[in-house]
Amino acid sequence: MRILFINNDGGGFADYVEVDPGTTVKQFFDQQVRTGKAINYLIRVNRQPVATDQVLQDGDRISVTPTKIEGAS
Amino acid sequence: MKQEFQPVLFRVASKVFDAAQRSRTAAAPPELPTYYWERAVSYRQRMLLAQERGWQFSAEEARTDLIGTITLLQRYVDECATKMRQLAEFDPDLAIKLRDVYEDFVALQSDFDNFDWNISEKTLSIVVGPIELEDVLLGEFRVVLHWDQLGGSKPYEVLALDPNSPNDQSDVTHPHVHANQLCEGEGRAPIRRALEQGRFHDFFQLVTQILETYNESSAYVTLSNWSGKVCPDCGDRTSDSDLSYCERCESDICGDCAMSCSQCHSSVCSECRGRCDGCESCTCNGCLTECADCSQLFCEECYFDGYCESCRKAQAEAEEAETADAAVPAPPTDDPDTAVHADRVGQVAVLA
Repeated sequence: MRILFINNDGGGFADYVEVDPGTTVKQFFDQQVRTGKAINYLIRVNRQPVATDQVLQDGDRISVTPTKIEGAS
Repeated sequence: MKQEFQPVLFRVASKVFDAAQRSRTAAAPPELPTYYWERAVSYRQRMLLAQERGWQFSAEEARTDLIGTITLLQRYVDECATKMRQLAEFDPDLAIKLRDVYEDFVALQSDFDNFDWNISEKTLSIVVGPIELEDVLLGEFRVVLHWDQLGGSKPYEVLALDPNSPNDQSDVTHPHVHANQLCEGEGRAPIRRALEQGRFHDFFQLVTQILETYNESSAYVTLSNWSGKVCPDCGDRTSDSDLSYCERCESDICGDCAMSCSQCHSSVCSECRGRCDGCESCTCNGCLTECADCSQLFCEECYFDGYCESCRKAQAEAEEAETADAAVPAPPTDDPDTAVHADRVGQVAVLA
């Protein structure tokens, strides 16, 4: 199934990705954001905060935003 | 849960959608991760410096930071390369859709109580906070996005509603906000992407996360010095508790630059003090007096009755000489009986 993945970590890229049916939010996060821990991110599905064991549906829009983003001067 | 359709919000969404579409350049290249490159250069310099000075712990810390930053840099460079390849085959599914803009606005209403818009000024705004970082209360901030400036370099502002600025820098309202502009740091690329793609919920979320994060190593003013001032003598920023005070000009100076006058013991800055030309003690300008003769400055201990000690001594010697001259007997006469000649040189015999 096809999911729109918005990665607000780093480059802020959005793209469609193929995932297996039955994939949970946590599994999806582990596959796509390999360097971080889920607790350090705001994860939303269709703009709503979700539990990490929620199963993704075809056509979902999932966004991942770090809770800490360092500004500069 | 199904949300009730909001016609007014939809009209605003439609105006913003039009503006976003006009500003969008589908073929825009991705933002390059220059921030991470600059950080890597900085960590490398820090590591070299620490190695030169033999600071092993600092060198190790800089090495770890450098590795982490290079790893991130590599990842983002790869992402940029992928994106550049994808630009050739732009996916119309990723084009901005009115429905997405509207749904973003619905989500913003639910996440931020103060999500607002102004059609005549063409702005969207949220209120973030109150923000408190490291026990410093910075207050609330209004993030205002000007939708007619989408595609520009500064389409949004961050306004402090109840500013708590450092004492002498009123244009800094947050460690990462100067003159109402947020320095986005790590958030720069995702913010640009979110605005390019019309993801307004992501945009406001990203700005919020930056405002709620403190990066001590790259702040306009560090929070430890937030309540301090810049010392006019040495230029260092000093916290309030370490500030001293010049009792002559009333300026605030740091403890290291405040000196005590050797005469009146008042605390003074470098502008208000000098050095006694006699004993060389540090003396405030009020306790220094110009010698009427040599014009040098002297403290009270080295100055008396209009003159310094040296000039007084010279005067006394001159006076003594004058007095001595006045007391000198009359010049010798021609009487040979009274003449005295050099002794034992065999030239002249003294006549008895």
